[in-house]
Amino acid sequence: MDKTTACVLIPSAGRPFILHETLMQQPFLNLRSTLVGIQRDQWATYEQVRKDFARITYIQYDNPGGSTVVAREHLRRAAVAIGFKRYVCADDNTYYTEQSLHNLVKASLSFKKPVVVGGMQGSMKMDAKPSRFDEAYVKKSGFTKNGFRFYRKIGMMFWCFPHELYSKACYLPEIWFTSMKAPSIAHAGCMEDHTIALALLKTGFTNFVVCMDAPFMKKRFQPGGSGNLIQRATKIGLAWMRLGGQHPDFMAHVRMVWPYAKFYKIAKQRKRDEDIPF
Amino acid sequence: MKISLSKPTYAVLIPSKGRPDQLMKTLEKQSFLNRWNTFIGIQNDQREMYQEVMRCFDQVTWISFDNPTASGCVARESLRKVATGIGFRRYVPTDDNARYTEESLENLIRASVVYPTQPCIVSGFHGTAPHFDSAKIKKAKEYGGLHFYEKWGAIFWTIPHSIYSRMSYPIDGGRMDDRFVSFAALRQGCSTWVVCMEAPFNKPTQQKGGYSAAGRTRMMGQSIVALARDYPEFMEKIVISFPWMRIIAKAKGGK
Repeated sequence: MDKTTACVLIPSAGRPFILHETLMQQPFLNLRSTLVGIQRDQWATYEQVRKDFARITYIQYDNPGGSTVVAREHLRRAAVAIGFKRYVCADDNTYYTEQSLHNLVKASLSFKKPVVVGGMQGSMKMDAKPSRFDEAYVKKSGFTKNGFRFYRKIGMMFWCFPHELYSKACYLPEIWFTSMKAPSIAHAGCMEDHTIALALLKTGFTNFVVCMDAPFMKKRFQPGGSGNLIQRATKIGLAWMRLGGQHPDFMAHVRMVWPYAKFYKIAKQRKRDEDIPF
Repeated sequence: MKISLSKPTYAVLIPSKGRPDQLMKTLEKQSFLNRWNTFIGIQNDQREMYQEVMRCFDQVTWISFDNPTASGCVARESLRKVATGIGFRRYVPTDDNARYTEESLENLIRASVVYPTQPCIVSGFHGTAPHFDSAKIKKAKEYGGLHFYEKWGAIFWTIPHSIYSRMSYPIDGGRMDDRFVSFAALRQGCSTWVVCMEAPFNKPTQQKGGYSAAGRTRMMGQSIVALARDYPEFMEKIVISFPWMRIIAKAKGGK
């Protein structure tokens, strides 16, 4: 595959050690066509990563609120300005093989019409099977094209966008970038993958598939990234406010799950702790 | 156990916004609410709109307040402050379109008193509960002639004074007012939440007006931010569910 055909876009914040580990495990990412985004105020903390993986293109930006949406938009703009046929969005703690990455891009190129192709989450093994939950999607919508196996579903975290889509759909509207100052952008929050999916859906684009031959894994709740669990919850709220304004029709369907059994457990533990005599 | 309900030991708290016709209908159907221990909250800028309802149900205690952001939390807090200031044993926060009988309301209060674990929060038995809660209903237990099963519930529920007087709804809390009560109670160590099957109620969904309709998603986002700030220990456990198939269907339909 021509190295300028596709790029990989990875924002990272507050965890150079995790990015370092990811790049150590996936040395095939040490290429100019891998664009890693780093906040200007964290540039120094990523020095070792930049030194050890010097071929990567590092993009710097201001992001005072630590918003993943802002980070993604900066990366998107930088990559689209260079111009690739395909853009693979991944996280700094997403794990996949070189074969899986190639398959993801090739699978995307096998479609004449624009299609967003996601990798299949759960394993790094090339012969991985879909999760129990996704088996129903495979039964309902599974198909094979150019030797790759697909099913219809929005697959995030490790996914590939064609230029005609990714150059038009934005994480943040132009006005946020051109006429608003940092505090407004700082309130963008997270949920960047949902943001771009909803932005595409708003244009009427609905062609999302998952390629079973592009497996990947992602660790959850690691330090850094969107911050601690409380910061994460706050950013979810900010994102909900933003998305509610941008896509009220879609967001009306979104629900929150309130795990009361877990809440009771926390409350009971708290009470037990308070009752312990000193 | 016999509990005297002759003197009101509880208050019913109802905020209403932008739908005097709906409130009128509710009060006509539930005329037992026309008494001083029913507190109805109206925004100052809507008093004129509600004049007729206020005239027809003049035994109700009408509370008015400023609420420029049309926040459900501001409305609830205004009612809570007044009612807890007077001091009742129980508070029943409910909606202007919730339907229940007098017997159901009294059962709800009685249930809150007779339940063996105190303090507890008791919710009414929603019309859809026989279907959705069937597994829990099988495990229901009887106390004082009433049947209970463990579950969190809102809309038509009763909260003891010890909890309701020691919490507050934040002014920037958006529309998820029930979650602020829940987390405040949990933080105070109250983790007993039950539904009383002898306190049935119903509530129509998707009606016009009201606090839940006002900028729904924006207000929900605002609530999440405020809840994360005020109750981080619980909010770190929440999960958001995007029903993509339904959203895609919506996108296809909107082409």
